[in-house]
Amino acid sequence: MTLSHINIAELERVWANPSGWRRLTVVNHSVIGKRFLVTAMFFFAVGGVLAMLIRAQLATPDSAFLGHAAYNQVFTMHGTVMMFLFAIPAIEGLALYLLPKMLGARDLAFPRLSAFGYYCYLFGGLILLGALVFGVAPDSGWFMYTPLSGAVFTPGINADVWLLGITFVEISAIAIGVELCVSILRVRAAGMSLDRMPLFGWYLLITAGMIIVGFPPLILGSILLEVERAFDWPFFDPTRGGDPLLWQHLFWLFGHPEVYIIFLPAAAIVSTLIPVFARHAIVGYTLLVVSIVATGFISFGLWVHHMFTVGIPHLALVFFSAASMLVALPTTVQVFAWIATLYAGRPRLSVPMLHLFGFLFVFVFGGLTGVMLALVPFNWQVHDTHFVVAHLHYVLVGGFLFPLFAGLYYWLPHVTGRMSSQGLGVAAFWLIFGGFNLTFFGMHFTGLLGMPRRIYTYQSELGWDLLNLLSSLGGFVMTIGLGLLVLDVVMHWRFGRRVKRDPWQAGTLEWAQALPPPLYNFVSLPEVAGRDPLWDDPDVAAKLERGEGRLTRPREGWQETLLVAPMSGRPDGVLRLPGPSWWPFVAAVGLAGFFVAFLLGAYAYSPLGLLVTLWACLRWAWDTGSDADPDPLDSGAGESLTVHDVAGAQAPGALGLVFTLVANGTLLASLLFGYGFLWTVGPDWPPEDWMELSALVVAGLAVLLLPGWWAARRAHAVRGGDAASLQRLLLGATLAGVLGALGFFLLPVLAELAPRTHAYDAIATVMAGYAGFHAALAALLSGWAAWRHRCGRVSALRDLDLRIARGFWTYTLGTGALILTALALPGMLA
Amino acid sequence: MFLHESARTHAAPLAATAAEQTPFSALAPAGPAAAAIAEVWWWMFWGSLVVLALVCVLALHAVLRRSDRPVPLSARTLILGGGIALPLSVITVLLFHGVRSGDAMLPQDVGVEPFRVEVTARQWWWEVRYPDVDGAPLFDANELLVPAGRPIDIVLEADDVIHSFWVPRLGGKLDAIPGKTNVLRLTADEPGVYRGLCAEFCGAQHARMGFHLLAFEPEELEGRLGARAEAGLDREGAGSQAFAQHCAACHSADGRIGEPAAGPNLAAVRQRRHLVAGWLQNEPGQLRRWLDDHQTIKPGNLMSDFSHVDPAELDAIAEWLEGQ
Repeated sequence: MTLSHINIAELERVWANPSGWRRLTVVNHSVIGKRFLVTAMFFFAVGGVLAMLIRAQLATPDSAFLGHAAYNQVFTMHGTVMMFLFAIPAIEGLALYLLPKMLGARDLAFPRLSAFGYYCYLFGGLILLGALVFGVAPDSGWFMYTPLSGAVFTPGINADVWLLGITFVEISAIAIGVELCVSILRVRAAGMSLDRMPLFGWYLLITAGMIIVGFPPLILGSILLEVERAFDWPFFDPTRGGDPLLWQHLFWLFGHPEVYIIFLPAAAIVSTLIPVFARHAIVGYTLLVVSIVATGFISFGLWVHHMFTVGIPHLALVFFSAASMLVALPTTVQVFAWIATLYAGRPRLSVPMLHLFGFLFVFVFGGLTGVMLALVPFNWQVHDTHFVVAHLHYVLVGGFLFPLFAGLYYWLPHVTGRMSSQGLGVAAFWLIFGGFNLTFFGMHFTGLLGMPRRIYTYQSELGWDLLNLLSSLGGFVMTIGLGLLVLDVVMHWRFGRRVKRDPWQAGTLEWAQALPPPLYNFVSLPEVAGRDPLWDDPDVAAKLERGEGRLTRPREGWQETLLVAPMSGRPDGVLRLPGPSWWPFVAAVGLAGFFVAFLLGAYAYSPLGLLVTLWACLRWAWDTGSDADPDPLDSGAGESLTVHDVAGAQAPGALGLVFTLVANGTLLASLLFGYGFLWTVGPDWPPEDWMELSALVVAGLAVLLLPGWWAARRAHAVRGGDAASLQRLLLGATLAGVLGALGFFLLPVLAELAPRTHAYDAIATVMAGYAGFHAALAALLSGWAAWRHRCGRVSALRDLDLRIARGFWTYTLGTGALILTALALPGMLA
Repeated sequence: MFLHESARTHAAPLAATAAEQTPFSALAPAGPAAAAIAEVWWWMFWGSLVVLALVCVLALHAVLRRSDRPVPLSARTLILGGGIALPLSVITVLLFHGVRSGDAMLPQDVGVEPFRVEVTARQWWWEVRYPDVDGAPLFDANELLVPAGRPIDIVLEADDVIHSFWVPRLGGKLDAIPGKTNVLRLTADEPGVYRGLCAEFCGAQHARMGFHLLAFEPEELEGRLGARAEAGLDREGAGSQAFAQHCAACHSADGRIGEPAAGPNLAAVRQRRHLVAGWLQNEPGQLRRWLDDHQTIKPGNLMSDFSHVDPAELDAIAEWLEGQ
């Protein structure tokens, strides 16, 4: 008992967060998760106000409330804010806050990466918000179709705000995506094999994977469009070999998976809550996992259903129509598994359950109109009308907002240690639910009566007046409901009944914590033997509190958590966590400097921001690791575990590199897709000349990259041996990278490409630039590893720097070869 | 106006009333494509309500039933039946129907030579060309004169940004995309006036980018197209001179001459039902009002400001155009 108290005091000390300005250095997942959630809720309010402006304008025909300029900014920002600044960050916040607790860990794999993600999100969001305040917000629609969003038709900075601000926020999303993938696979409780993992973990694993693969196409599209706007490189200009449809493909390659990136975490909430309120384990666990994975895959095959009216071949329409309908299948499986779980148990009613019913009704109807929209001829009629506005709100409000509110009421006691009221919560629900349906049910018919989307005014006597008025009324009713919900939350904060632990008799590990939870989550880390640890053993919480688990005693002031094997959940290491750090904040500030400089057209100064970021990242990387090999630790469960923060293939950083390169590879794949797309269907192709890539040039570049790759591999292989030869190998790899980068950067110059004249020249230059940039990064990582080795931060055991240099060189060599082949191909075929 | 009357006498009275109240309604079809889509909509609508009711009743029953009663359906039946068999059968039927009916709506050989109209979408109006009429091409704007009862092929292009051509009562929409030519097949069963609009967001005045499609019996169509071709040839007087000085940099006033096309061809503007891309009824005096107030009537439109021009000259321009 005494021992336990000493431990707790020590844990409190080790995990304590700084105060004052140093709050900016906090990296703890609970704090970062809450920051994400609170910021997302703020942006939800902003998006809500914008929605009210839209409904006020459309309430009556010929309204004089907003002009076209204001309205176009308002509707563009409503979509943009809700998608990028509310929905995705809210999901990320929830995942960051909950996952370690639910998976029985003390923190995530890369706490500093989460903090970096938060600041990128915050700064990107502030750029967009600032533009709104100053009246220069984006106004070309949240889908930013070119040529409307191009420099000719949107000459101001409005479109740049979108492209740069959203890219900033997407960098955040990718950072969190990598964080979640690695954490879910590696940082769990002992014994939690993948088939015992709570479904919430499965949903978020697939979601995070989808973010990693789904966001790069839009990042690439945004880069290309921004370069077109800033430097007049005509990727999307049909008079110079570009194609506006390329933007649409890149946008919807992201945009459709995005819908499921939002829906899956909401379904995760549903799948977590239903068993608790049904008092029965989830029915069809395996089938649900299969459905989640299937949704992830199918969602990447439907993007063209946003483009049924652009005039594409009928066969393609049939394929995408079928895929769009097929994605309903894994969703209906989930719906009926939830119903089956309710039948299997003894359900009880509560405010979260009310929101789950709201979800079921609204989302199922949204899904049904989604199947209708997948029917191509029907889509031709209602596409870009208010029917689609109604559909997407049924899907997103039903499929995201109601589950989110269910989750809010369910997990609020976890955050605050207080229960919320019944009365106010019930009233808020019915107002939201009723107001929502009043707003959007009739809107299906507004669309069928021919009212298009995104018009700021309409004439009377077209049959649209009454429906629009009702929609606006409903919108305001819903807003009152949302206001009541906020009031309910505030009241509960102040007056709610206190709870110590697990008010819902739930089965997942986050409820084994004392409420509100301590920063270290658990006094000792649990071992699980089933899917619902608290139902399997009601005594879990007390046992953990008594220190009957792993890693009870913090050693040497380290923040520690357990690493497990991805599949089996067998403990295979201890992860030392970094604690508070300035570098994530500084790195994000540097990026903000870059984006703002670019936004203001100060292109020459923008690299300064990147240099700040680079410097911060290097300091960040420097802090990782130690000067001596750590001794293996006794886990407290009779096994000796290696400290794996920078050691061997088990280091989370090794897996982090893999996921980062997957995201990066998707960006390159999107670029090559764009190249192939323009080549095959772009107007005004082929260009006057293909690039002349002589065999000599190709061989020369290969000669530069191959030895770099070889040296990096060799350096890792001989890491235990002679220090001088290791240094020579790494410096050789550095030199090869520098020369390779120079070669690739010179390629467009030598080939006399003129990127402003034709999309071919522009995209070929970007491809060479991509390869050159990666060769330069490979050089940097090789040199960095050499420096770290020289300073004693690398050893045979602590080999992460060498692994990263090796892995990155493999990627650079592979993608460099791919790019050279792609560039040489047209000349060879001609 | 006279066009209005003649078009209405041909249409069925009931349909005309419904269509007048909801002139953009996809549910008041006036052509085979729109009719097929409206029919399938009602099937899908009622069907979806049945499915929604089924799911909600099941979920409510699961929660509200007395827990000592036996469960009516096993979990296996629920998930395999409701989660897989039900959607799969619905999807199969819908997809089969969609492929067949969609195919029939595409521009393909049906044994009748379609009537061709070329349309170029611009911010925020529609250039219309008749490539096959006598003395073609004939240029017009914001109005398509077509035969009733015969397939129409609308050859769509865009000159600036992406637009979308949609006549809801006749059928689905198709985008007009710079650098691309799309062909939309429509048929109007009966003579009449069918309203259309731009469905793809295209900037400031996306809301005021409408047009009218007027379907006539073939003989009448010939006369009307002929009248349009003959307009705009009176080049005498102050109005014509003022037009040449102030307007001709952007507008053609000859139905046979397409350039310049920065603004709509104004040759037969008096014969049009509407001005300002379907927004204003074409009544005497409207054109003159437009010259003074066009930034109030359609804010952000791309026409120059003419407040510096002597009002007498503007009077003459309006008078000359209305006299064509």
